Amino acid sequence: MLRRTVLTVSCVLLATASTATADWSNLGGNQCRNGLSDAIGPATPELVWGTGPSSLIAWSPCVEGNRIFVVRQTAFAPSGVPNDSKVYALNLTTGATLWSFVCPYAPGDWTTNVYGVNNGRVFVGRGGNGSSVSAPVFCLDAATGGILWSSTEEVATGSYDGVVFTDEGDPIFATHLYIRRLNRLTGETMWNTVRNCSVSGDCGPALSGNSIYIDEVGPGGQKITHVNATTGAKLYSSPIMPGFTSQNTPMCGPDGRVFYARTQTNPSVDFMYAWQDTGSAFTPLWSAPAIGGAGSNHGLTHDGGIVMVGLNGKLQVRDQVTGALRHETRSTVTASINQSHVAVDGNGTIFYGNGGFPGTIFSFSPDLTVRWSIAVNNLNQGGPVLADNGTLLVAGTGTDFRAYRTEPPCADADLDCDGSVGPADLALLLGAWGSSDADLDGDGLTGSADLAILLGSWG
Amino acid sequence: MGMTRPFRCERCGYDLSGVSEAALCQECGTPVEDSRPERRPGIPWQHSGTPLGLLATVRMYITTPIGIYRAVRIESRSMGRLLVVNLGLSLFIGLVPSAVVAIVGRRDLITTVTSGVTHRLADPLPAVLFVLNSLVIPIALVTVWVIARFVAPRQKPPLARAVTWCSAGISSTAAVIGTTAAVLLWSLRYATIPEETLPLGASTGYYHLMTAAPLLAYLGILCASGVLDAYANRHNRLANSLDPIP
Repeated sequence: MLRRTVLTVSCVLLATASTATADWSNLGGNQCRNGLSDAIGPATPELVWGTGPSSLIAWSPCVEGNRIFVVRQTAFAPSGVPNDSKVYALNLTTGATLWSFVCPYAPGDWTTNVYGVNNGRVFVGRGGNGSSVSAPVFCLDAATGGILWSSTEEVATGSYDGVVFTDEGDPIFATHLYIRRLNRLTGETMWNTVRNCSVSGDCGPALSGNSIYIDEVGPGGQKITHVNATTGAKLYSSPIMPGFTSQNTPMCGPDGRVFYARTQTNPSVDFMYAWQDTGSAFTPLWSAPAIGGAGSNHGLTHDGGIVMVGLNGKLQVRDQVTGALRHETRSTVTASINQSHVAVDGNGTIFYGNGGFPGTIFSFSPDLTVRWSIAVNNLNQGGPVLADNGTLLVAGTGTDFRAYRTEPPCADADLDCDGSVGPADLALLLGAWGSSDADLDGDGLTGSADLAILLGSWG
Repeated sequence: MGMTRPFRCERCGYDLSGVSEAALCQECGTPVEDSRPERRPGIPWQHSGTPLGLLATVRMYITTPIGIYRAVRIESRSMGRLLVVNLGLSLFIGLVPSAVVAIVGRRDLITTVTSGVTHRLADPLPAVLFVLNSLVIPIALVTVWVIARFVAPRQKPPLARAVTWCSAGISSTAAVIGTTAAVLLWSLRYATIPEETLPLGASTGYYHLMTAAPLLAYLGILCASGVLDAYANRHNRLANSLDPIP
C-alpha cells in the first residue's frame, strides 16, 4: 500500500515537474510536430479508462499536466449548434469531465477545433472546413474553461492544419493563404504573412526555435519556406519538390533538419524529403518514396531516425541524415484512408496510428517489431497521443475514448520509485520499520537486513 | 479562370474541393464519390415529368420518405416545376368541395341540445380549404422564390439555391397528399350522411373537432413534411447541386 501511494505521489510530482517538456500540446505533439516525447508509453495495452463524451468524429486530444483537452462532436454544423462540438477538459488519470465549453457559433461557422494548449491557455475556435470558414479564436483558462479573450481578427485554420507555439507561448496559425502570429495575452495579431499552400485545410506550420517551416506552392511542385517567427518575414525557400498537390505539414528535427512528405497519390512524385536548413538556405539531404495521406504527421526517434511510411505501405525508420533504411515492418500499416500519426516515447517505442476508417494503433519496438496493436473505429485524428506521465490516449467515435498506461517498474530498494535510491527511500524504510511495507528481503518484516540492502543499492 | 463551386461531403459537409474522387472524406471517411451530385439516381418526376411521374413521386414520398431525399438530384429546374405542379394540383383539389357544394347543394350538420332545440350548422370545410389554399399557395411560392433568390446564395450549404427548390418541391408533395386526404375525408362524410345528426348533447367543441378533422389531417401532413425535410437535410445535407454555375 505504502509503495503504491509513494509511487502515485512521485508520479504526480514527476508529471508536474516536467510539464514544460513533455506535454502533448498540439497536433504532432510538439512544436516541431515530430511526435517525439520523453515519456514512457505503455508496454502493453493496459486500459486505465475507456469511455468519454460521445463524438461522431475522432478529434485529436491535447494534454497539459493532468488535463486532456478535446472536442467531442455530436452533430454536423449547422445542426445542433452551438452544442454540436463541445470542448471538454478531462482528468487524465480518471477520464472524468472537469469542465466543458460551448464555443459561440455564428452562421456559417464550422465544427469547433482545439488548436492546442500552452502554459495554462487552451486555444479553440470554429474556423476551418478546408479554410473556407473564418472565426474568432477563443483563449480559455485551462483550469476553469473560462474565456480569457477572443480574437477580433478571425482565422480560418482548421483541425488538420494544426497550430504551434513560440517559446513565449504565442500561437502560430496558418492557412493556405496566410501564416499569422497571435499574442497569447490579448489575441491581437502580431504579424500576418501571405503564403500559398497547395490544398487548403492541411497547411500547418512547424517551429524550431525562431524558425517556422511551411510548405508553399512553387513552379511545378512544392517548396519549404523558412519564416522568421519574430517578424513573420519569409527568408528563403528550398528547391522545388516536383508534384501537383500535397496535403501535409513539414516536420522539423535537431540540427536544422526539416522533413516534408510531398505526397498525393502519384508514386512517381511521392517522396519524403529531408532538408538541411543552413541558416541561409535549404540543402537537400535525401528523399525516399513515401505514402503520406492527407493530414499526416510523421515522427522522429531519439537516435536520429525518422518514422515514415514507405511506398509499399510499410512503416520505416530511416536515418535522418542519410536516409538509409534502418528498419521496416513486416506487414503494411496503412488503411483505406491513411492519415499517419506518430508518437515515439523515451524508450524508443514507436506508436503509430493510421487514421483509418476503421483504423489501427500499433505499438512497435525501436526495430519496428510489432509489440501490440488495437483496432479503433474511424480513427481519423484520434491518436496516438502520449501524455507526460506515459498515458497513451486514443480518441475514437461514440463514447470510445481510451487511456492506456503501464505503471513504470522500479528497483526494489527504490521505494519512492523516483529512479534512484536516496534519502527519501531511507526515510520510507525507517518509517516502515517493523512492518511489511518496506520488506526488501522477503522475510515479511522491515528490518536491518532490508536496511543493508537499501544502503547497498544507494545511488 | 471560371468560378468554382464548393464541393462538400454529403455526410459531414467538409470541403472536398480539389480532393481525388477515389479518396475518402478526410473528416468522416465517406467516399468522395458518394457526394458527387450526378451520383444521385433522381426521383421519378426527374425521370418523367408526366402525370405518371408525379404519381410515382407521390407514392415514393409516402412509402420511402427519407429515400426520396437520398435519391433526388439537386437541381432547380425540374424541382421548381414539381413545386408549381404540386401547388396547382393542391389548389385544384381544394376547390372540389366548394364546387360540389355549389352544384349539389349544402349538407348541414344538425345538433340537438338538451333543451330540445335543434341547431343546423353549416359545414365550413369547403370554404376553409378554398381560402387556405388560395392564400397558402401564392405565399409559399413567393417565399420559396425569395429564399432561393436572396437568402440561399448568402448562406453556406445545405441551404444552397438548388437545395431550396428541391426541399420545397419535395415538401409540396405533402400539400397534394394533405389536400387529397382532407377532401376524401370530407366527401366520405358528405356522401354517406346527407344530414348528419350529432349525438344528443354533443358539445359545440365536438362539432368543431369533427368538422375540422379533415383540416387537421391536412395540417398534420404538412407539419410531418416539415419535420421530414429538416431530418433529411440534416442527415443528407443535400450539399452539391447539378445547377450550372451562375
